[in-house]
Amino acid sequence: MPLKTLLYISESTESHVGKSAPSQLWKILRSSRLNNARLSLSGVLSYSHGKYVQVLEGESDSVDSMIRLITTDFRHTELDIVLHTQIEKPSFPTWPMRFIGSIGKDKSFNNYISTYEDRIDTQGRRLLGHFLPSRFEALPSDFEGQVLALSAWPSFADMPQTKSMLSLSARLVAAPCLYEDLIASKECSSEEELNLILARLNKLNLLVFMDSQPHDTRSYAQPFNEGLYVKLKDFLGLQ
Amino acid sequence: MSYHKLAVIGEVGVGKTQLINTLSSIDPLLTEAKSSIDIGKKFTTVGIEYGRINLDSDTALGLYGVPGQERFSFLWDFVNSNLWGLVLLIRFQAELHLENMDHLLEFFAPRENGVACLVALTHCEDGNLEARNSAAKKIQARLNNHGLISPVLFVDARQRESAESILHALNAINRFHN
Repeated sequence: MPLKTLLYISESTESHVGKSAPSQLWKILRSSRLNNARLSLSGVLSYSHGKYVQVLEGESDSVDSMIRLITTDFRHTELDIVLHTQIEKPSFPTWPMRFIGSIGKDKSFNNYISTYEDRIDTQGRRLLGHFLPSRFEALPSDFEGQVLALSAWPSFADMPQTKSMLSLSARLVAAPCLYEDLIASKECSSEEELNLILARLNKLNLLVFMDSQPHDTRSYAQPFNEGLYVKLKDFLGLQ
Repeated sequence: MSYHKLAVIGEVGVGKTQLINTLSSIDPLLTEAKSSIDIGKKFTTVGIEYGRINLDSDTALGLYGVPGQERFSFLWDFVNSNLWGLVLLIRFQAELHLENMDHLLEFFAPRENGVACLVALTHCEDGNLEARNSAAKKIQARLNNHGLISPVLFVDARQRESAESILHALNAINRFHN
């Protein structure tokens, strides 16, 4: 039987959604441990400011049965499945359901996210940002409609010296630019890569949000001429 | 024929010859002589070295390696006109030698001349993250003093992909700054 992992994020239905854990949390933890032991599932559970995050791992059918049960649980609402994928072996095999207080600081959870990060879409990253703000703190919703600039080139000891990074930095150091124009001009290979680079630049306090300041409205979506730029880019194997 | 010039300037043993060798489409023209000081190699460049990247039948980028020591400043004049890009090569080491950087930036005046400029730190493969970060910040502060917001790249002149990051950065700077 193939193994799979499933990560979901949901909202607590308990009326107080402050920093302290809701009383329902312990009931969820207890019932998870009982049900998971019965189905030979393992995983982790955490809570932060009104939201739950839970990982389930085990045989495919058992994980599916459990998530069906959870979706009908009155203690959760707005349940979103962030990750649902087959695995070779579980990341949390020891406990039927381990509770983690500060999941953002937990090494095993961060390793788990690193292992499957490429299978988490933009919406999933946005949701995970609630629990892992240092990792997913700036997401597309933060950039949409924003005019962005860089106050300086990043240190490439802090950032990877990739072609995308060099192009994007050159552009944002030269003039402020609308986020949507950055997507269109394809300095980065994907919108996801663009968002990750912008998030890292933001974390280094180099990204400037210009709001309604004048910005560079030239279109760089297409090569602007057939001159040296395009030929050199060809030479460097970028087209 | 569309011809463009890239000046690569650096002191003895910084890796100019290696960089031009790595990037050039032709066998570089070198003028080497026995080194008078111990720089870890027997020969060193004493004049301009020349390489060329042929982009197509009528477009080329000339690579001019020029010694950074002031006693060679008569060669700087020869190179400093209609530059497409300016690269200052600096060797990464515990005590960075940045004294000459101000002279070079004053002479070549990349900001005033509208020339794309960057600093490439070489020999940093074994440098730890903190030391490289500190070196990059010191150099960026010097660049800022000359009104330049320019990148500091870490380059292994022996590696093609690493050496090409210089071309990529200068190409992007030229595109977006003009």
